[in-house]
Amino acid sequence: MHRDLGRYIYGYVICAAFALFLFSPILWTLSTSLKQPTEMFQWPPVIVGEPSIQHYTAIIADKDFSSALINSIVVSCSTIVVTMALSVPAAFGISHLQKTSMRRLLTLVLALRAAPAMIYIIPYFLFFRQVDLVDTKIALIIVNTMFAIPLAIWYLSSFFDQVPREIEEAAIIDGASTLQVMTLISIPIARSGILATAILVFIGSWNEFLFALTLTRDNAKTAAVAILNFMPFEGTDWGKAAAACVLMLVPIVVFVPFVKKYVAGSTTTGSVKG
Amino acid sequence: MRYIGILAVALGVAIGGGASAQQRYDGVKIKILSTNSAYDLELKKFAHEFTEKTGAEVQFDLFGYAPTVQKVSVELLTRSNSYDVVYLGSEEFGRYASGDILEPLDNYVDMKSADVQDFIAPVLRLYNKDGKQLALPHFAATQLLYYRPDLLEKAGIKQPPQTWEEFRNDCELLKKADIQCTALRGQPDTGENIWFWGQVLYAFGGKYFAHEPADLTPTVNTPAAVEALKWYTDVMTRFTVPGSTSATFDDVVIAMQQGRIAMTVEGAPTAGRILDPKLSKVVGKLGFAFPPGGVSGRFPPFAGQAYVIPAASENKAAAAAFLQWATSKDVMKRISLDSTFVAITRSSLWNDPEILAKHDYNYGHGSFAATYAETLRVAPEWYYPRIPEFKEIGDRLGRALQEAVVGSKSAQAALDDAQTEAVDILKRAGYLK
Repeated sequence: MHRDLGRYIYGYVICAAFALFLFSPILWTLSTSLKQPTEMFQWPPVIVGEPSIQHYTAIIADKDFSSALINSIVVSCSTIVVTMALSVPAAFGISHLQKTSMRRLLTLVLALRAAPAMIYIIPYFLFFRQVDLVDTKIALIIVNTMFAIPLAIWYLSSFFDQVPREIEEAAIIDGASTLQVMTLISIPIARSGILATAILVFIGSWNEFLFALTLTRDNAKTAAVAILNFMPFEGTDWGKAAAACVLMLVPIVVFVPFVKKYVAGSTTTGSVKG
Repeated sequence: MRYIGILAVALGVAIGGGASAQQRYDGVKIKILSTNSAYDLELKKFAHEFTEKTGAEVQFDLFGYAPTVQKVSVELLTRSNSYDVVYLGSEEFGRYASGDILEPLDNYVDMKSADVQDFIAPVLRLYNKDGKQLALPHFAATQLLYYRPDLLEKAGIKQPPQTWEEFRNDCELLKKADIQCTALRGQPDTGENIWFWGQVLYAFGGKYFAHEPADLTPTVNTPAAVEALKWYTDVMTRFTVPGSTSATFDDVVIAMQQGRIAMTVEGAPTAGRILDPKLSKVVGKLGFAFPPGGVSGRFPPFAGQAYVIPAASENKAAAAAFLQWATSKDVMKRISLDSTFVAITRSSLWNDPEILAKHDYNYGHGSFAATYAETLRVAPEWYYPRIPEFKEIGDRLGRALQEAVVGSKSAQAALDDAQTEAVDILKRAGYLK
């Protein structure tokens, strides 16, 4: 009994220490965002002295940052729509390929994503400049979609793999076309996996920095890039930068529990009665 | 033929430069890529005056420092015509000075005019390549010794250190008096620890190359360089505030501003932040002095910021007129009086009573403005070697400094490794066989 309790406590202590290590930068950012400027570099440091939302009101009033935040929302939501519209049929198709050799397409799709994004920067910049799409949200949506599709297909095909073939076959026997099987049978059954994938696509697009930095100027700048504007040459405005980081974290904090729920849960629980 | 060329240039200057203030550029839109620093933000406010004078519209795209550097790199290296005026820090000048990337200003601006000669000479020379002026600087930075006379006195120190050895000895005395001596840049980067490091290297008798520009054999591991690094390692490990191993200029400024240290050598333009009345705990307590030196002399770190015209710009004449206006004495003075900007590049403004009244700090231990102006007067324009590859070499050397400070390598081993890599970089670039 004592031994079990010891193990139990030991496990929790290790987990708590690890969680503290992981979350301490976030907690520091949160605390900085609520501090008065005079408390920010106080020594010895204070966690939060007199909490203030002045940095939040300042960045929300900052037209440059608020329009960047709207750009991030538009780009991320559009990336979800386009990515899912292209990935769902592709993943459904790959999931239903009969030959093993053809299934290797999936590895190929992922291999395309394996190259570091850095090598694409100059070619993409030149291309988008040529077609006059630099500093447009469309350019970012295209690039984010291109990078999201391989991963989305990979995730989605595994969710479609879990859809019982018996149900699909029954629908086919009843006269359903392949499109009907996909839209009326497989997608509803795999919806939690599809939703989880959509959230992951959103998070990827929301946090994307490298292409947003290169392909945007003033009009299509996203929040991830706009945060850097609080770091001018003369020195960082830590309060605003921290408040902006916390705002950027909000959708992640909201959506991540859903991903956990949907990915961890069984896709097809209760689909077929045994 | 030669005379026709000279005549053409003279004509060009007469049309493009001398008359630029009056010349009309109706319908032209000048697009500017720069940082959101105090100078640019103020300039943006005044830009309508340039439009009224010349008819040219001005559009500013201003970003934080890091994104600006990245965007400038992409725009210039891809020979983009998207911008007509672009920010350029002197540490990056070598990357773009060759290869017809930048438009020489000699065709548009009379370089011998009294107006241009008013720029502090070394600052102007930072942006000169083979006799061609490629930019007009609006920002000139050096470093100063900021010190607390009260704390030095407590430790029995009568005057600020004149040499780096004295700096270390003073740190020893401060430590004995239980006073935290200093904070110095430790972040491994050409713009961070290497900007500080150069002055120590030069003062100890070292240099980056055998004989720049004729012989670019790296000399980063000579006995003088090793001695300099031993000094740096010793000070960083024994006398700096915790976290200095990766400290940026921001961390150093905050340590000084919050009264945590007795002295530091940091950027002169940061004085406004160190002494910001809303945040600072050291207002009225600081002294200002020339940075320490060594057997070879004193070498205050030196860097500039300027506006350049990309060669691909389609509005070069209008852009040149904008450059002249944006860096003119009148505009610079107004910006300085309206903001925290103090990195003035014009000699005449350093004697201007209004500027001095606003920006000079003097608490009885040296005038900030006089010390700053003096460092600018003697600052070596070769402080950063001006080859495109220096950024890469500097970053590698910055890592070597950090390796020695954290103790993963000895000073000699860290610099030997950096030397090997510097040789490889220069061979790859074709400077060495």
